[in-house]
Amino acid sequence: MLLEAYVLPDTDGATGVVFLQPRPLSREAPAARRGTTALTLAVYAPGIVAPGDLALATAALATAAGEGIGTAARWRVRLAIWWLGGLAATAGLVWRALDAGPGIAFMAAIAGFLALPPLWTIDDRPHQWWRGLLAWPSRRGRLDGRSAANLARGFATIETVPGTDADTLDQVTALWAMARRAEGSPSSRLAAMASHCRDRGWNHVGAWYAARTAAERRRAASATDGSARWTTFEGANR
Amino acid sequence: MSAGMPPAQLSGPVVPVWLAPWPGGGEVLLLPRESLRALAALGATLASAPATPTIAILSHDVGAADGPAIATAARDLVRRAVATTVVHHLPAAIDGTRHRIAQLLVATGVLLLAFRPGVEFEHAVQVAVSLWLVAAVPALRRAWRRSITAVARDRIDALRLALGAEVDRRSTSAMPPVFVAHQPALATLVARLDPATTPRDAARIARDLGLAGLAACYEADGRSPSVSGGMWIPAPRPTIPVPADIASPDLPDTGPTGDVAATPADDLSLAASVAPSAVPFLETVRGIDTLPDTPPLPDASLVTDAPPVADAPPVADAPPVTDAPPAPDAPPVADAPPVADAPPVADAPPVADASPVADAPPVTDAPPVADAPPVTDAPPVTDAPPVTDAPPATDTPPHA
Repeated sequence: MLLEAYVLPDTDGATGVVFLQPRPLSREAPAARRGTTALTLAVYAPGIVAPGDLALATAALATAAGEGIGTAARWRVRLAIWWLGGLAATAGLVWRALDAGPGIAFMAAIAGFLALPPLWTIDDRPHQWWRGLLAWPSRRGRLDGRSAANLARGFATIETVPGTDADTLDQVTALWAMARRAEGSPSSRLAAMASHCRDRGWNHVGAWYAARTAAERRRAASATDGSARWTTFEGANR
Repeated sequence: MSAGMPPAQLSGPVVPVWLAPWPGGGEVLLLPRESLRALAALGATLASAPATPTIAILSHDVGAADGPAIATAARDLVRRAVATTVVHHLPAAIDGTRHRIAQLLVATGVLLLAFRPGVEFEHAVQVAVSLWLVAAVPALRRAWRRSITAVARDRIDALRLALGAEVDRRSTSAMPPVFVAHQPALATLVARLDPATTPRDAARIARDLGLAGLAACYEADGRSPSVSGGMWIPAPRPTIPVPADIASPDLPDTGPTGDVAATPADDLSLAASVAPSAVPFLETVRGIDTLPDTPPLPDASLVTDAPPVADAPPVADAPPVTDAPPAPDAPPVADAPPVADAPPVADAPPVADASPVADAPPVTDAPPVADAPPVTDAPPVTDAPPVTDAPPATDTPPHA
């Protein structure tokens, strides 16, 4: 399986993106790749790929796979039972406490709510447990459990190499040239990059830029946007 | 590398460790938040499919980072960080917050009880809720902790097994491979830092370069080596290569090539045990003693804390120098610079840990120190000063 990662232009520099969907191989490719390692991550950059970026791309892939594996099945069942029972108990408590007034009912609701375990935690803010209860987890850049487990099985032999495909290198170079010429607000520049990628048939990168544009429009560029030099993206169909 | 074959190319899962410059001088080995997150995720990966992780040291200067001491320190840092990955599986802090909120609610209930005692059922509910919060929530908290610990245990065990933390650390077979990789962003960061740069400025520069993980550690300003932004330890000095036949049971283990796989403290004591003339070599390497309040490794010793040579133990029990292997690369005494270049004895590394040398000259025979330049200017061993009273150069380790 061949995975690819690109060093892409962003609004304030470069961002490394590991695309979690394998690149579809041509008819000749399986024969050519016979005898090679099972999992290869090819990293493309506008210039020479630094070994440090190879390492960070591999780490980003491992992070996505490990987080995609998620919680063990036996714990998920336990969590579900706990939540169902806890919600029933809380509802009963609140229903009975309503007779005594809304304040008491509120206290009963809070008490029951606090006895429930958090469904998940936000990795960036593990201490803010309530965010996991109040927010829906983002699926962006995350693998589903089965894909992650399949990916993890290939990690023992994964090889991370600089990309050598001439067409892809050409796409990366053209995108960087276009990004240097782009002007306007960050979201408009990102939208222009998304459009450029789609025009050249680079749909998975275009999908990443579309998601990036949407995120940029939702929140004005903040300092935390560039916190990760390498990120992952489960792109759309190519 | 001191142990474990250095990988020819990057393969297998990777734990990135940054060898980052510290504002004001020195370097630190640093695991930013992204690396801790990668390590925690790696636990989940390894629990489902075993693999051998590679520790990738990202540095601006591959040559300086490619040493056994730094590799050993990086392994130690990663091993220590395994414990911190529990926070991703076992959010004890989450439970703590939950418990504090529960106490707040108890207080609220008590206040309500005090100011609005009216309906009997209201009383009952308030008491029940209070009891629930006081007694049941901690019990549920313990149950939650037990359950999720069971989940985390597999992953942490897998990490420890893969990183060699479950076996003797000095066993070379258990050491994960270390890969030193050049990181251009770090080179840019090093170029922008100068000795007057404050940690806050360094954090801003790092953020400008997209190294937000490093910025978080700089902002912590050395107050704690382990914060939510990451973990770091001072980078050790390069290890002195010592021939395998010098090693004795009293000395630290050596790797297959005879290099010392040791902590920084071991570096100093080992070098001093080999020959007193090895001392100036140690002082030519980059120092970590300029780091701010960052606590050093538990067993690390800094040159600035070294006792003076005058406190050195007697030299009676040491093996005779004549048994030491000849050093073909040792420079002839005649080529050595004049005595005036000798380093000051008072700044020498800790000789107190040195194994004694029988025929070594007494310390009082050392060259005069009055005109000596600072230690940092001292030449390496190959340029050792001609200590006329010193024994022949056969006890000098072949550093050249």
